[in-house]
Order: sequence, then C-alpha cells, then structure tokens
Amino acid sequence: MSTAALRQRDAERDVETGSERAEKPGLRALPRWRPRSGPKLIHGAVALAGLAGIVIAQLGVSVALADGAMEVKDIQTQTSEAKLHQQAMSEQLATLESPQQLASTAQGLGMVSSEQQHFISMATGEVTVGADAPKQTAQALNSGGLLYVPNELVQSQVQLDDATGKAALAAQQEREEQGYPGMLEPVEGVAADD
Amino acid sequence: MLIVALVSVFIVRLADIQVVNAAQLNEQSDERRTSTQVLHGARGDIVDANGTVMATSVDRWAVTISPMHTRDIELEDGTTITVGQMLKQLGEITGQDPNALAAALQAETDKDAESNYLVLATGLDVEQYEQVRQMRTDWQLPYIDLESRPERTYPLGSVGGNVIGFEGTYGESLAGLELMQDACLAPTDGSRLAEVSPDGTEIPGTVRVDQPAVNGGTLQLTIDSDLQFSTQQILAQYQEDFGARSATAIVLRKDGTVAAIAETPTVDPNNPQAIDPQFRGARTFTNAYEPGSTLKSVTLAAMIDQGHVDVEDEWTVPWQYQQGPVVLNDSFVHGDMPWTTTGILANSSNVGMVTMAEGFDRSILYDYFADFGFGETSAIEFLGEQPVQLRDPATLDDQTTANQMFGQGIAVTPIQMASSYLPFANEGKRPPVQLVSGCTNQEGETASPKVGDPVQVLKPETASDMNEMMEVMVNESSQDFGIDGYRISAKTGTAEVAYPDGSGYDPNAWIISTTGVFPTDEPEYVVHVMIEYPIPSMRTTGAVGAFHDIVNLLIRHDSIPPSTTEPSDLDVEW
Repeated sequence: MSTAALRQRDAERDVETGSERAEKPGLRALPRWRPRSGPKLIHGAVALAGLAGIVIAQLGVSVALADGAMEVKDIQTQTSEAKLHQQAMSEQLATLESPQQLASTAQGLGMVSSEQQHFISMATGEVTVGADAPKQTAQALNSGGLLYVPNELVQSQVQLDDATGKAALAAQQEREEQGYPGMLEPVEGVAADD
Repeated sequence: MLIVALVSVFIVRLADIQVVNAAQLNEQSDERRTSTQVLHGARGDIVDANGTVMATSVDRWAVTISPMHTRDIELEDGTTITVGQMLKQLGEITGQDPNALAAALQAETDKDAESNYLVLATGLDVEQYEQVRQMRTDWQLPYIDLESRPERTYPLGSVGGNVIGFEGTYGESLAGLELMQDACLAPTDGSRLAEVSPDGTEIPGTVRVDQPAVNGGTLQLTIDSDLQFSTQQILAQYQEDFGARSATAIVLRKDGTVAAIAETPTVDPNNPQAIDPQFRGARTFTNAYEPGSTLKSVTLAAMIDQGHVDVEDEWTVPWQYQQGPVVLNDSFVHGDMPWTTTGILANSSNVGMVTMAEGFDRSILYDYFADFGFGETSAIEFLGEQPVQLRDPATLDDQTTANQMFGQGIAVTPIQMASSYLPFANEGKRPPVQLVSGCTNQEGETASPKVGDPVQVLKPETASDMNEMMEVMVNESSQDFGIDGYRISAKTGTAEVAYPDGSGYDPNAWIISTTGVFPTDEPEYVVHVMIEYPIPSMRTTGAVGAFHDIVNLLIRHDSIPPSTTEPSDLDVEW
C-alpha cells in the first residue's frame, strides 16, 4: 500500500470514529440501590376483602342452591300429592262410569229398556220396526240385591247409595208426617192407593 | 432422607387411593352421599276394542312396623301416645280389628324379639295412605312406615274377568291374559341416583338417571266391553231363572274376532277369592262337553258338501231307528214323517240324521271335523285350553258312530262349537278366532299377533244352503225365538251329560244350547249360548230365550236395520 493510500484510510477511520462518538450517550451513574419496601396495608385489605367477597358469594350461592333445592323438593311433594289426588279422583270416576254403576243408577231411577225399537229412514221418513222386546227385562240387581255382573268396586257404592236413599226417604216421610211449609197436600176427592 | 421417605409414603398412599382402591372408595363415597331409588315402571293397561280400560295399575300402600322399636311415644307437650292408641287409630283407618293387629304384633315379637319388619296392612288407597301418614307425623311415630305396593284394579269388575284373569297378593300374574300376555304388560324397573344432603334433600344438578323405567305395553282386546257387560247381564238373569249351575255365551264377529265371551258365574278380578275356584277360569276354553243337536249343522254340512245328500231330498222318518246293534230314537214320538233334508234339521230328528248318514264315509266326516276346528286348540291358545282330541273313527263302535251324527259321543269346547259356525258366516271359510288385537309399547309401536289364514271348510253354496236350512229351523220353531223382520239362522241342542267314569248319562244333568248366524242374508255375527245344568222343569225351554235376547242386543247395539231380502222358502215336508 502506498503512503497516500494509507493516509486516505486513516482519514476515513477518523471520520467514522468521530460520528460514533457523537451518537453514543455519555457514561452516567446508576441510581442508588434501595431495598424493596414490604406489602402495604392496602394490599392486605384488598386481598382480605376479595377473599371475604368470595366466601360471601359462595355462601350466597350455597344458600340459594339450598333454598332452590328445598323449593324443588316442596314442588315435587306438591306434584306427588296432586298426582295422588288425581289418581283418587280417576278411580272414583272409573267407578262412577262403570256399566254396573250406570245400570243400577238407571234402574234406581225407574228406567227400562225400550220394548220395541224403530228405525226412521232419513230419505223417506218411513218408520220401520226394529228389534222386538227382549224376553227378559234387563236388571242390574238380582233378587238378593246384588249386582248380576259383580264389581267389587261398585257393590259397596251401590249399597251405600241404597242406604243413603233409604235414609233420605225415611227423613222425607218423617218430615211429611209432621208437615212443612209448601208441602203438597193430596187433592181432595182422590182416593189414596190402598 | 426423612423427607424422601415421607414423600414416598404419600405417593404410595396416593396411588392406593387413586388407583388401587379407587372404585371401592368411590362406591363407599356414593353410598354416603347418594341415594339410589328404584324407578317402578307401570304395568300396562288392558283395554277393550274401543279403548275402554278393563285393567290398570294404581298406587297402593302397605303399613309396616318395626316390632322391636314399637313403644309408647311421649310428645313434646307431655302427651303419651300408647301402642294401643296407635293400633286403634290404624284399625279405624284400615277397617281392621285393633285386637287382631295387637295379636299379630305380639306374635311377631314372641317369635323374634329383634324383629324389625312386620306388615300390618296392605292395599291402602290414597285416602287411607294420607290418614296413616298424618297419624305418623302428628304422633311422631318412628316405628311405622308406608311401603309403596302398586296394585292392579279392574274398573269394570267381572266384565270379561274370566279372560282377563287376575293377580295374586304380591302382584304376580295368576290367570288369564294377565298371565298369558305378561311379556306385553310387564314393566321394566329403572334406577335413579342422586346426591343428597344429610337431611335427605337431593342436591340440584346431581341427579343421575342410570336406567329409566319402561312402562308395560297396552294390551288391546277385540272384546267390546259394553256388549260383554250386557251379555253377562242377560246370561246371569237366565241362569237365575233356570236355576242353572252356570251359563256361557260367545259372540264372534264374522272375521273371527271375539266380541264377547260371557260366563256366569264370573270371577271379579278385584276379588278373585269371592268365587268358587271352579269358576275363576275361562270355561269357554277349558271345559269340554257333548254338544248334542247343535252339531247336526256340522255333520249335515259335511254330507251336503260331499254331495251325499241334497237340501230337498225326501225322506220318510220314523221316530225310532234300529239297524243291527244300533238303536236310537227322536226326542218326541211321531209317526212316519215325510220330511225333506231341511225338515230333518228343522225338526232336529236323530233318526233322520242317522238315516241320511248311511253309507257316508266317516273318515271324510272326520276330515271335516278337523277343518271345522274340532280336535285342536283355537288360534287363541288360551291358558289351559283343551284341544279335545278326536277319536279315530275306525275305533268307534257302531252306536257311537251313529250317535256322533247328532252330537253324542263326541266332545267339544264352547269356543270350538262357536267357531265351527264361522264357515256359515263366511261363504265356507273358517277364519281363526282372535281375542287380542295388539300390544302397543311405550314408544307407540303396535305388535299384532300373527293370525293364520282362513280354512276353506265348505263350498260357498253349501254354507248358503245351511244358513237357509237353519233359518227354516228358527222360523218353524214352536219356541218363537225369531225376530220379526230379521233373518236369523240357528240350531238348538239339548245334550245329555255323561258321568265322569263313562258309565252312562246322568238323567238329571243337561246342557241346553243354541248356536246361530245372524243376519242370514249378510252374516255379521255367530252367537253361541249354553245353559248348564238347568232345573229339570226348564230343560225343555231351551236356550232360545237367551239366544233371542243376545241377538236383540246386537241389533240394538249396532243399529242393524231389518233384512231386505225374503226369508227362505225351503220345504220342510214333501
């Protein structure tokens, strides 16, 4: 390398060093070390308050759940009681609509099956004769007062109705013997049945 | 080193808890925290053809007591509830004698001083259950408990009780369709697990249903409960009037489905013990009898179908018949009568029947018997149903061979007799009889029983001829059991009853019956009525009155209009 070239290189190096010096900060002293201060009271208070909040919230949720559970249990009890009530009513209804009950009630009311059945033609209005009278009049109760077609569920009801009916009849007769306002008197001149 | 040892111990214990004994500990934990409840499925209902409930399940309870803990209880207000008071109150609720309850309690304690369980009462209904529960709460009785025991109830009582069957004290099926169709009706119990608090309250969100209960299926019958009730009522009245031991009536629709199977006396499934055990089943399927003259329609149909005789053939019929060892006579004395084949049936002549059957191959007759359904159980295959095997005709003596033409020396069940008339209502075909319509499970899927194909027993024209001949029998009868305006075909029968030891016929035992098809021109029903062991004075009256009233009932029930075709004009005499 020539002397001039060397001079040129040194000059360039001086320029570079000068610009670096200009950009880099200068040395400065570090802040003085201080030991970390202990937790402040406020932090403890916040933590405790948070903990208390969590406990209270948990208690609240537990109380609400327990309350809800009790409520659910109450509702379940009410539901099962309602179901039992419904079952009791359904059983009563089934007994009341059984054919034995209907037949004995009808018989008690003096109803009998029709003697002769008739058909009316919707087209012509003509009346034709249908089934004749049965040879036996259908009866619900036999000569012993028992159902011809037994039903343990109804028999007691029939007896009950019978007993109630007799008691009501006896009470009515007693009232009529004593007389009461508005009682219908036999028409004069009409012979009483012997 | 100590720390390492401690950590090792903890690790071993952790592994023991989490892995080795995990399942057992979980189970123990569950036992403490959870309550397992059996979920009872409901047994299925039995309903009639119209959906009317004939059998259903209801909640009932049993009162149980812990004898070892039974003692007088002192209440907070100082009142003492004695055991005697409790028993008296319980007796008032359940209708039991308190002394009997006390005796049962004492006997249990004497037997086992540490007995913890005794059933004091069963079958408590809702009202009684509430009363006992109230008593237990008010008097703070820790030794009494109420146990759920669902029971079967039959709202229609004995309507169809003979075929429906019943259950035993502990809910086991004992008879009839309850037993036969148990696979359809029986529920499958499930289980329910939930975590509970110490006071027994379920913790929300912890319920785990392990297995839901599956209710039993609904069994639908072909029976019409209204018809069944009315038929039973009619039958019971006739049984009473006739002083009869029992009576049976079967109403089949022309397609073979059973509309009614009435028997009296009939078991009331609500209280099976109330009736003599011999009447708790369905005699329609289990009792064989000699049918008598109602079988003449069958034997005559076979002869006509084979061309052996014709409806208008002319016969001279004396009142007695004697050929070799065979001796028989008609039920009434008459001279030599110029009867046609129709006349022989209309007059129910035994002599005429045997005369016509001369030369008729009995093996062919037996083939017809089999086609008519005799000698085998019906398609219903009811519990204990008798097939009543037919005897080999080759083994019969001459007298029995002759007697079978008018229904003696052969036994049938009532259902066989009724279904043997189905070919007359179906142009010669006999459809299988059917009692169950189907079983519908909880998901609403219905399974119908497999029903076989009808058997072509007779030619259609033979069935038509028979209906006309039986119509003439009804119209010519002195017993007046026809109904003006309606065409009815039927045959009456008066059968003797053989002694069980086969030593002959009981002179005081008779079975009077009538079997028929209605209406003759467009058959809808087959009706079979039999009254068993009527008092002698009523024997000659026959079962025609009951038959008339049941046909009358069917007309009213279905509003069947009068026939529009002319009645048969077949001649009875020539």
